[in-house]
Amino acid sequence: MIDSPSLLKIEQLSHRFGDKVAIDHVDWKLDQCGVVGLVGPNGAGKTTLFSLIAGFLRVQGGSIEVLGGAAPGSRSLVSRVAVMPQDAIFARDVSIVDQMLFLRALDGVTGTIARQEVVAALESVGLADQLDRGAAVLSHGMGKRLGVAQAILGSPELILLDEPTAGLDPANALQVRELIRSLGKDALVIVSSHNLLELQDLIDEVAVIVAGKMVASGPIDEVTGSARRFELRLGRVISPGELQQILDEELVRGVSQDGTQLTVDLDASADGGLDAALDQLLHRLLKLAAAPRRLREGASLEEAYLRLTGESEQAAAPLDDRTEDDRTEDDRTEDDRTEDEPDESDAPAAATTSDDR
Amino acid sequence: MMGRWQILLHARNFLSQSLRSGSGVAFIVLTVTVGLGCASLVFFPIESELVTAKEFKENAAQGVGTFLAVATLQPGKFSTLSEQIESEELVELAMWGRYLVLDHPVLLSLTVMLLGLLLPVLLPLGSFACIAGDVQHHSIRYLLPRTTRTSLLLGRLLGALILSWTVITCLQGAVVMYLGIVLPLDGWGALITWGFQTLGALVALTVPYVALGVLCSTIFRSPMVALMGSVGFTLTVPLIAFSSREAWEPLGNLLYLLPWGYAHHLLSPDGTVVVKTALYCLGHGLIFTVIALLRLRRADL
Amino acid sequence: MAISDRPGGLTALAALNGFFAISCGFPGLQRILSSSRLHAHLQDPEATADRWSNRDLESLIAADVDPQQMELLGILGLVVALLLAVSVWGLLKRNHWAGKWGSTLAAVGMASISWLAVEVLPTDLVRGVGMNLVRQMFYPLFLLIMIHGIFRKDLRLR
Repeated sequence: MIDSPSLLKIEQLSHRFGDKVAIDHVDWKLDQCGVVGLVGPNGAGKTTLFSLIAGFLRVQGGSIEVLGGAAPGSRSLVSRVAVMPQDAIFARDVSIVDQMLFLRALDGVTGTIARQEVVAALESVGLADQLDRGAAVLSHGMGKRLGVAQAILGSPELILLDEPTAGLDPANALQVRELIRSLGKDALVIVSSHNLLELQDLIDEVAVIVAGKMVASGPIDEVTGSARRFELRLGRVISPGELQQILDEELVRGVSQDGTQLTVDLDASADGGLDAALDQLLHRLLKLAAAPRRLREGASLEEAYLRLTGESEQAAAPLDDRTEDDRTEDDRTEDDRTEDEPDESDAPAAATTSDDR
Repeated sequence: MMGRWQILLHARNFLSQSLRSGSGVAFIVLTVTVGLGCASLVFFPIESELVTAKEFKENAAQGVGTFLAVATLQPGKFSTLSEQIESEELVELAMWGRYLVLDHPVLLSLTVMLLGLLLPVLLPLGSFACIAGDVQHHSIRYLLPRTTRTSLLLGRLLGALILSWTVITCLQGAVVMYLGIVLPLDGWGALITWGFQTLGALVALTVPYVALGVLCSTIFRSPMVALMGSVGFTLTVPLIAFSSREAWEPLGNLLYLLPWGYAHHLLSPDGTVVVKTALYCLGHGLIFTVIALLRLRRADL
Repeated sequence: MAISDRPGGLTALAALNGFFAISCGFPGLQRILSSSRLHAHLQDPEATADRWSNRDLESLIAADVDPQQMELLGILGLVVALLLAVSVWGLLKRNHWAGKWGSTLAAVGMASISWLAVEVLPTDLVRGVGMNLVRQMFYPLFLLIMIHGIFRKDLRLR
C-alpha cells in the first residue's frame, strides 16, 4: 500500500432519477491505494455511484473530490481515471486494436509505444489473439476482458471496475483478479461485484451500499466483524446428531451440511480469536472421527453482507438449511446472462478463488 | 494543445467509424445520388440543346421554363436573357455554354439552389448519430475518462463537417467534370471558377445544418429520434413561417431560425453580400454549437 | 457470438457494387445489340430501314459510329458488370483478390467506359441522368478511396 491522501472523498452525496432516490447522503473516504470492493443488492446504487465518481452523471447534491480535490469529469482528471463500465459496448465495425490505439492516442501516446502498450494490455486479459477482430465477434466475456484491458491502459491512478469478472470463465476470471491485485499496488482500484467470495480474497477494503445508503465501509476485517465462515470436506457424511454436537460448541455459530461438505460459521471474537474457534471445531471433528480432507476459508463477507443488507434474517437461521442454489444466486444470474455464449462459460469463482489450506 | 489534438483525433475517428459502419457510405451515396439527380433535371434541357439544333426549339421550352422560374425568384435580372431567348441568339450552341457558365450562370446556380434546398434535409444524415449513437450504447463512457466533453463535441462536429464537405465537393466535382466533358465550353477555367464559387456557398450553408444535427444528437439519446428531430425542425420551420405569416406578418421571421430566410444570398452576384451571408451561416452554426456544448456539458451520460 | 465482424461499410459497398453491376450490365448488353443492328444496317441499309428506324440508331448512323467500337464498349460494360459481381462476393467474404482488386478493376473499368463512351458515341446517348452521372463521375472514385483507404486493412492478403 502506498500512502496518498484523499484519493477519493465523497461527502453527503445524493442523486435522484426522477422520484427515485438512487444515492442518499453517502459519505466515503479512501486515502490509500489498494483494491476496494463496492457491494450491494441489485439497484442499490453501485453503478450510479461509479457513474458519479467517473463524471458520467452530474452531481446533484453533496460533493465528490477525486485524486486530491478535482471534481469528477474535470480536465485535470483526463487520463488519470479509468473506468470499466458495466453495460458499455465497443464499436462493432472497428478492430479492437484500433479502438484501443485510439483510446491511447487520446492520452497522447501514439506509434510503436502505444501499440506495445495495447498489445500488452490485451495479452494481460487473454485477448492477444483477437487484435484484428471487430468487437462484433466478441462474446460477452471477451467484451468484459476488453473493457478491463482499456481500463488498465496507461497509468491511471483511480480505476473503477463494474463487475469485471462477471461472465468470465474460471481461468480468465483468475487472470483478471490477479491483474486487479497488481493494479492495486500503485492505484486505487474500486471493484463492484456480486461475487462476494471472489471479492473477499481480492480486496483490502469494502463498502456496502443498500438502497442508496452506504451502510458500512472500511477494512474488510472490520466490516465482516468476528464472524468467519469455513468450508470443510469431510471423509464421511455425518449424522444430524453429530451435526448438533458441532453446533453445540461454544464458538460455532452455525453449521450446514451438503453431503460431505460442511459450512461452519465461527465466532472469532472470543479470547484466542479465530485460532481458538478453529481449534475447537477441529477437535470436535476428530472426536467424531470425521477428520476434514479439505478446509478453506469461506465467504465471511457474504454473511456480513447479508447481515448488513437485511437479508440475513432470510438466510441465517437457515444457515443450516441454505442450499447451494441460494448461496450462488448471483452466480446463476450471470449464468443466465451468458448462457447463449458457447465459448464463454460462467463459473462460480469459489472453485478458483479460495486457496486450500 | 492537448485539447486541439483530441479534437482532431475525435474528428478522424468519427469519419473512420461512420464510413466503416456504413452510415457514412449511405450518407455519401444517397446525398450524391439525390444531388446529381436534381442537377440532371437542370442539365437535361442543356444537353438536349447540344444534341441537335433541330430539336432546339422543343427542348428550349424547358430551358425557358427553368429560366422563368429563376426569373420569378430573382425578378429584374434576366431581361437580357429573355430578350436573347426571344431573338433566338441562343441557337448558337457555344453561346449556350458561354452564357450559362461565364456570363450568367443562373441555370447552374439554380442547380446549386436545388441542392441548397435538398441539402438541409440530407445533411442531418451525416451528423445525427455523432453523439446520440455513443450515448445510446454507452460507448461514450469509454471515451469520457480520456477526453473532455468539449473536445468530444467539437471533434465530432468537425468530423461531421468534413464528411459533409467531402460529399459536397464530390457532388460539385462530378457536376463540374460532367459539364466540362459534355458541354462544349471554351475552357475549363471559367467552369472551375464557377465550381469553386458555388462550392464555397454550399460549404458555408452546410455549417448551420450540420451543427443543428449535432445539437439534436446531444438533446436526444436515440440517434433515430435525433434524426427525426433535426429533419423535422428543418422542414417545419419554413412550413410554419409561410403558413403563419398570412395570419400575422412578423411570424414570417421564424424563417430566420434557420438559414432558410437568407441562404439564397449566397448566390448573389455581389461579393460583399455573399461574404456577409456566409458569415451569417457561420454565426448560425456557432449558436447551435454553443447550445449543443452547454447541453452536453450538463447531460447525464 | 456474432456471425461476422465484417464492417457494415463493406456490406454497404457490396450492395452498391451489386446495384452498379446491374446498371453497367444492361447498357452493355444494349450496346452489343445496337452494334449488331448498326452493323446489319451498314451492310444492307435498305433491308433494315423499316424495321429499325428508331432515334438511337439514326443518331448512331448520323454520328458515323463504328459498330465494332460500339460492340467493344458493350463487351467492356459486361466485363465490368462481371467484375462488379465478383467484387460483391469478394467484399462480403473480405477476399483480397476478388474484393480489393475486383473492385479496383471494376472502378477503373467504369471510369474508362464513361470516357470511351464520350469519345465514341453521340452525345445524346451518353448524357447523364441521375444515377448515370453517379456511375460515371462519382462512384468509381469513391469506390477506389474506400477500398484502398478506409477498408485497406480489412481486405489485405491473409
